[in-house]
Amino acid sequence: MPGTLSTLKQGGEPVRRAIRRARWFLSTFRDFVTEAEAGTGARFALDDQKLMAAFSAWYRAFEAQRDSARDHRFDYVTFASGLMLRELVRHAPLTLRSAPEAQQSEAPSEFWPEGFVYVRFCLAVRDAVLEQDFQLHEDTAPEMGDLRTWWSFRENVQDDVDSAIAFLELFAGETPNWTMPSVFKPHRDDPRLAAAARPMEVDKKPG
Amino acid sequence: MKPLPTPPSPRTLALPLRDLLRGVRQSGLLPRSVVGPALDALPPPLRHALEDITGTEAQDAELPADVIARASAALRSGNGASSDMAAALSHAITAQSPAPLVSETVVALCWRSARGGPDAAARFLAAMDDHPPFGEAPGFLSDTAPDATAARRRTLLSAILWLLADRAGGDVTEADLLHIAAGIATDLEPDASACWTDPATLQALLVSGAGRI
Repeated sequence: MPGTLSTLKQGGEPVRRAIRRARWFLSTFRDFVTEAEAGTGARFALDDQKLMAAFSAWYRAFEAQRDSARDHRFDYVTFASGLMLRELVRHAPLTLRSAPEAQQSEAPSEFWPEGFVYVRFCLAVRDAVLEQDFQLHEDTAPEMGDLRTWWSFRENVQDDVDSAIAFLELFAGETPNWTMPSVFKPHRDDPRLAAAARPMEVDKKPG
Repeated sequence: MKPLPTPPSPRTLALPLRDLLRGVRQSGLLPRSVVGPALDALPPPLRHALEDITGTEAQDAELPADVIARASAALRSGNGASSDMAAALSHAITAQSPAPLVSETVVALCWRSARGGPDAAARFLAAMDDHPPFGEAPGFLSDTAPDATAARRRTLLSAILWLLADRAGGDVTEADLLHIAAGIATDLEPDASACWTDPATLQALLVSGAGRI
């Protein structure tokens, strides 16, 4: 299963900017799914229209709260990844065509293959931005491999798709905002940022 | 309905002939076997037009990259040839809409009325909405039902966004760019309709939308 910066397409633009271009988002997601298929043996059908709708919805949600995050960019990276997960879950562009080759009976990738790809993709984008802009190398939280958490994740997003944002925070090892997950609320000043050599530049371009 | 923009000299615009031939094609395709043997004997302009009528592979051909590049540059700068713009818009509309007829002449007239300013793309879009270059009677009749208006605007928005898109890198095909532009247009259409008569705001929306491609 892919999941690191090296698997994301690298062009001349930083990932935080490239991800706001539909062509990059679509092609990167396609490649990510292809690699996921190769890694797990699962086969997915990808609906381009639903993927495009997910991108558009994410872009709007991302832009809507961006101004409130000017002073909390680290937290907003994770929040924006959560918004992306919410829209992927909502629009569901992937459909499983054939199940992954069974290796572990309790692997989340077998329990919910589509959801597992969505989560890994969003975490990969988050990790890429954090690595490029903050020189931070993130590890996923233990909950990522916990089947009970995945049961809860799948069940909760069916009732309230906004909860996907909080679950992304949980999988990323951050403190989830369970009460109002769709409203950006900076959690804390991460002490690691003080040591970051190159903080994220101010993005003034709307696009 | 607003009056059509002042028509240019027919000598400088060879488009009406193509529109006319498209109209003929609309009433029924001629089998290639009927006119095929005579095609090679005709001068190129007429031969190409007849190939359109007979439904040969010519009508499915990709639009030349230099035409797209010139039309794209023209839309960004606000100045450029009507013929390139007409060909590019016609291609974009035909690729995404089952419209029975596209008039390059109307596209060219709309572009001539809009070009020359910083918000040329917005005014071009509005001109084509007033005089739709595709439909039952291009340039004259437009369906004013809300659904039809939204669908028409999505088609026109797609074409404009496609032309405004950044092509640096060349990592994506024109067909893919157009597909993505259509997706962005679907999302932007309500916002665009809200500022349709405000060229400056609409222009900013178009530039921003194209940046998402």
